[in-house]
Amino acid sequence: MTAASTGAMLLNLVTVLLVSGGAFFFAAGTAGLLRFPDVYCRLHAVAKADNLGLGLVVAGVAIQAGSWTARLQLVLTWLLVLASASVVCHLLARSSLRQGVRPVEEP
Amino acid sequence: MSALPWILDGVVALLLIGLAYRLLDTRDLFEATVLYIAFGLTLSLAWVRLGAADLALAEAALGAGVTGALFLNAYQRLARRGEGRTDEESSGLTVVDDRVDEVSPAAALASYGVWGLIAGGLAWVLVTLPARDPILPVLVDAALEDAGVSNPITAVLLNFRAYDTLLEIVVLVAAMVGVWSLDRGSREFARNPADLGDEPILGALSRLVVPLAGLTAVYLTWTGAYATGGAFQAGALAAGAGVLLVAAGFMRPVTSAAPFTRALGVLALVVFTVVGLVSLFWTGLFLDYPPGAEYGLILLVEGALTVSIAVILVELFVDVPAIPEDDPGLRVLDPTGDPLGRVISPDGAFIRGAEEE
Repeated sequence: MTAASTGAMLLNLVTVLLVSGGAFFFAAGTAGLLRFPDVYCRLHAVAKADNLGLGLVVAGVAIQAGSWTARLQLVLTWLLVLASASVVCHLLARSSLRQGVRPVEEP
Repeated sequence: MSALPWILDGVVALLLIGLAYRLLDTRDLFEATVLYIAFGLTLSLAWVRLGAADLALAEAALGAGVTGALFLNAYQRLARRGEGRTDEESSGLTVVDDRVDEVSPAAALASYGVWGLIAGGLAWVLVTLPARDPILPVLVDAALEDAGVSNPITAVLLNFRAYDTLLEIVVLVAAMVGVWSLDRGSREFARNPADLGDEPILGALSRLVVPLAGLTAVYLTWTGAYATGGAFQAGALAAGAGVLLVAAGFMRPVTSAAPFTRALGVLALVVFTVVGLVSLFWTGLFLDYPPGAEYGLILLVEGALTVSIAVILVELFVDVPAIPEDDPGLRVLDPTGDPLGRVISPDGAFIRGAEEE
């Protein structure tokens, strides 16, 4: 096995690990969305886990991307999703609070 | 050959059918709206899998994005309208059409028969369709040299079948005229001018996103001649930026009463029609661009389309007149459903998900 093909295989392995890790965080966020008791906990689960999950997926895919332009575009996409998801999360939580939705307290 | 693409396509196809069924089956307007957006995004995924990036972009931006936002806007206004109810109760808006329950079995059977025939006919057409159209792509390729643009999709939309696109902008202008004629002088979205700039977090996002969206809209308009892009995607993007500016309080809502808004809204229709008439005098055929001037004219029309589409979409979003109090269109059936996952008893007290006052 040549050094180049070993290197390519290592990169593939890193990509598989990163994307699988991203998928895990997406699954965890979705489980939180479905299982958590109120809107605030759900927002917390979705916003955090999905942002991290997307970051890992982007990192994994960026390794395979053919050019630095493509990698830059991927990172830019992640940053934009990060910014908009945080703001949307804030707006949803604030609007819920203003509508009188109380957070669940511990039993 | 790997089975992975088949699995992916199968999941997308099944998801589309499942979402469509749930979307039509549910009686909860909020659920239907959210499912509609999910359906639009899944559909754009299907277009990506079919290699139709232009359609995927248009579906995501216009089908799921703008239309979904309009539906959410309408839902919010309907929910706010519930008589004598608090916001919490009426936000779980569930509607039913009484006529549905009055259908006789014979009529239902006939209806199933008709729809079954249509569905069967569509399925038959789909199955017997050749995988690749043997005629049209060849014709488009042959004519592409004289089209003025190298992107075949833009060539079809703005040259070979420019009539269709002209009529599409007529539809949008008609929608805007509809909003004008519903105008009763009261607007729920209108903000107090003193409030402008009072949304610090949304404002920060706007400062980041709006310039980027503007740049991308210009890029999409420009690049439509060569690659994926075009006025409709660019217009939807610019409209999104406009709605964000209004929501963040940086821009007062455009109102149809403003002559400037009206002028920008009909700009594309006017430019397109003038270009068509000039071609008519030059070549003898409406919208048959004079040879050599195709690229410039297409770019002119695309630019005007982007501006008008953006203005009309923002206007449809923010310039909606208030609903009259006595409108009997929809009624609340079940006030216990709630989009935020709370369960509310009929007397309005929270049962689960939030504490009672």
